[in-house]
Amino acid sequence: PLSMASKEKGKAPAKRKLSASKDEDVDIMSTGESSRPSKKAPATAGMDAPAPPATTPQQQPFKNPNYKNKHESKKKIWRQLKTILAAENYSSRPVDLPTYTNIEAAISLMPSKKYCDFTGYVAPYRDAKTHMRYCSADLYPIIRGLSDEHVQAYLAVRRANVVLK
Amino acid sequence: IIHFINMQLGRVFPLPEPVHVPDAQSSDYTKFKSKHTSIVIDNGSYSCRAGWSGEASPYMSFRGQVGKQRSKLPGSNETTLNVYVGNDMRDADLVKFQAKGAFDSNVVYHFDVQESVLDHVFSRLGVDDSRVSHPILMSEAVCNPNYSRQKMNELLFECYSVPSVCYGVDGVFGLYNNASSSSPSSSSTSSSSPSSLPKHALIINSGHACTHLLPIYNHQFHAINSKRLNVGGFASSELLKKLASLRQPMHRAYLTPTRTNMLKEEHCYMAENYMDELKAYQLGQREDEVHVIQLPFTEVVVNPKTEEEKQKKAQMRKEQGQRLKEFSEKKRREKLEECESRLARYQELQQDFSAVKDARKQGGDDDDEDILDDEDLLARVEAEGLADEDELIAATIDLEDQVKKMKKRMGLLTAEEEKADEDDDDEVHTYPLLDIPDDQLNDTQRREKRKQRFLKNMRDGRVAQKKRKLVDAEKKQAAVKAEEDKRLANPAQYLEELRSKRKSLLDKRDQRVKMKAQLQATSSGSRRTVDRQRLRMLTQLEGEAQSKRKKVDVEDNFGARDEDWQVYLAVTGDSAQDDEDDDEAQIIQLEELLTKHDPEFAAEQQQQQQMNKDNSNSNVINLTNVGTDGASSSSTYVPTARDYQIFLGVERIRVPEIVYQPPMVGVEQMGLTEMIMHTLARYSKEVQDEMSQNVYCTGGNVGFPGFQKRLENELMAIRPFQSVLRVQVARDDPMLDAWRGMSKWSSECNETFKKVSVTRQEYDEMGGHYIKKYFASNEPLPATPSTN
Repeated sequence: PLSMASKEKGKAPAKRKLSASKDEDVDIMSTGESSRPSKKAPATAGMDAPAPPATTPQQQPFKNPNYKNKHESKKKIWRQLKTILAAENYSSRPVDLPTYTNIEAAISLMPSKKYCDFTGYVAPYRDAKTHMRYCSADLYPIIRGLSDEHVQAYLAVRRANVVLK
Repeated sequence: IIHFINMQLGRVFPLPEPVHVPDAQSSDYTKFKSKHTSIVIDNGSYSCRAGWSGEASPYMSFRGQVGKQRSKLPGSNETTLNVYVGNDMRDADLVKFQAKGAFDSNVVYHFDVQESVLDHVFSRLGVDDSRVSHPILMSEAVCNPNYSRQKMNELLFECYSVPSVCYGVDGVFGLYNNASSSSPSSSSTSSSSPSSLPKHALIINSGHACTHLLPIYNHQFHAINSKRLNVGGFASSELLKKLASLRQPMHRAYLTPTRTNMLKEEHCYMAENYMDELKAYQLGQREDEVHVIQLPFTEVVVNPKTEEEKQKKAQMRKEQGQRLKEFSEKKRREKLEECESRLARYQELQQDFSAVKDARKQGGDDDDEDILDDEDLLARVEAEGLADEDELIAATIDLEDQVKKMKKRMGLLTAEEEKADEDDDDEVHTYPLLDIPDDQLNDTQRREKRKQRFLKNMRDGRVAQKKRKLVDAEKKQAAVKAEEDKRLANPAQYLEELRSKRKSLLDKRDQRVKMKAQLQATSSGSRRTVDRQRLRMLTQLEGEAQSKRKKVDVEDNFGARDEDWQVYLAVTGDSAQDDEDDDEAQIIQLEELLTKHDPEFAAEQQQQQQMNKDNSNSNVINLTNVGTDGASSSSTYVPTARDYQIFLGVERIRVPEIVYQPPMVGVEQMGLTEMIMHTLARYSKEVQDEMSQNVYCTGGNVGFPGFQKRLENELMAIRPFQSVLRVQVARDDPMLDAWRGMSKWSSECNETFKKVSVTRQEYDEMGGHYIKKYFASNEPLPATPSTN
């Protein structure tokens, strides 16, 4: 089991076998009332397990060859959304027009509820040193015993971790 | 620790395995080619759905990811670039890890990837012309930036030579799909305006990247009052992955993005009332709701050994032992032979030496020097690895001793030799020649003298060593006796001393472990407490030194005394490894004594071990094992199925909740309820009433069980007393909702579709940002003004 954590993400599970445990009640999720409606699978061919995965060739008949030559440079760095929005220059437009930044929901006017970083229950307490929230007193020694890394990992869930750039 | 999950857990589920089915190549393109059927593409940040207009379902639906890989063609030296799109990538493929998506949040920004995606769409649909001669209906982000739309138009018009393009907001089409089929009185079959859409409605479109609130006002999408919340399916999956990884870090490897998505879809649900549900989990009332995911696990079966098998094993072990013994005997004999042969060689050499010397002597060379001229002898001496005659003599004596010892060990000494050996030790050895100075001896005698000198030195050394051993043994005896005396004199006090010593050593050890952990902490250099302490120490020492210098005008001779160098120890604070080992040995010793003499101690230890075993019981999730691999340190631990399970308890309701409480993941925006409240407030009372009777939910992220009920509860809380509410979630798969609406509209309202599409000519004239307004479009904005 210890070697599992160190292996690559997708590779390890594919190699292990499923156990045939006799007394376990492995209950496959039945499509009851509460389950999600199943997706309708689009029309597909059969499984292709032995064949290599299909590729999409880049040379297609319906593509304009001239277009491709124009954009041949691989070094093209595509603008991220932030840059795009900045270039849109929304501030110089009339205020009543809807723009991408306009319609973003504002910060809440009501105080947010605080939840325990460990268990997820309501957290009335906060540790002043590590800024972690906890729901009951017996969690305090545990929180204090955590290393820096762990504390930051817990805080990162709600983006309260310290990010040094 | 109270937050463990005990034995009575909920149902056990298998780990979901991602299924990989590549998109098939269409074979009936000709049917659509002649009619120039529109191609409908719902381009989403999670997945892309594409197909022919008028169909009930999209022909293909795949993850919007593209992976590239260079591969060498067999037989040639060329490398080709293979492009895998969406379903062509298996989850375990290497390409999947480097796969790129075209979206940043919900806006397309990477048009190379987009190009690959469109290639994939058109080629699988079977397009074989020199251009894609079908009108395109495509979805875009709410208030899509002009730049993005321009680039997309560029791609479609100039690369694929499409005749016309129409963009629409996917959420509105989702409503179109639901509304037009649900209201039987509408005449939506051939109308030019979608009057089947309710007059006023509110759409909640919760997608992968974000959640939108889209008000419909007067049958049209009212963009100015729409709202976007930057939390969606992606944030939910991320939250699930982080929570599961933190709680059980040893199973982190299993939580790939695809698997996490599947787990989220299968196991998470929306709580009808979050606070109540949370409380129920906390009080332990939802123990049967805890879902257990069983990871692949091979059972290790330990059969109880029968008597036969035990005997067989014992037999095997004996045989092995014997074999080992024989082997080592053989080795020893070989070594002995080798030493003896070497000894014979040395002795021969010595004889040759004396022979040469005598020969030289007789030849008139009355040389007192021992310098060897004879190259032959020199070469032989060097071949043995010795420098000159003296070393040869010393080595010979050494070797003789060694051989004797080995023989004694192996019991090969003859009776004579044994006797001689014993006598050797008792005899008084005299070295008569040592007293006579050199010049009075002749050569042979001188050589004898040298031999005797070596012998004497060796003997003396051995005798001294024996003496030292005796003294040490005596000292040890004395110490043990002293301990005993102390114990007998005052037993209680003695035990107290032992305990306190042990405790202090244990504390020191804990301190050391903590320091080590701090040293290894990876926070930035100057902030580590250890480093700060060091800095403080150094400045302190410097300050002291300075003040000392000021007081007394003495030369700085720091370092003259030995104790000065101890400051290094103080400053670095690195305890030497020897200290640790000494302490450990002492702790063990103390514990032995305590167990022997103190009856209570033994009982305590037993209890302690029992508690440790209980605490690390595999039935209990120990939160202090965060960060460590959970397996027990004992070597006899047999892993059970429980060690390979992921528990989803309160995470099941936490994960979907972020849409209502975005601060749970650090997004400082208002939740869905508040957004609805503010949006409704912008309309008149009548419109508000109508809207709250026509609330529609679409998008993949609304698929959680209980979403509808929860939204109803939330609306009820913010609407006036006794107002009518109606919340509808997409009847069929919410993810295909938008595509179906688009397909329906483009085929049923074909006239309108044609009218509001932007043709190639219009694109050339008006620019890439140009769109025409219709019920599902964004608000057309003028071209981006250039910055001065």
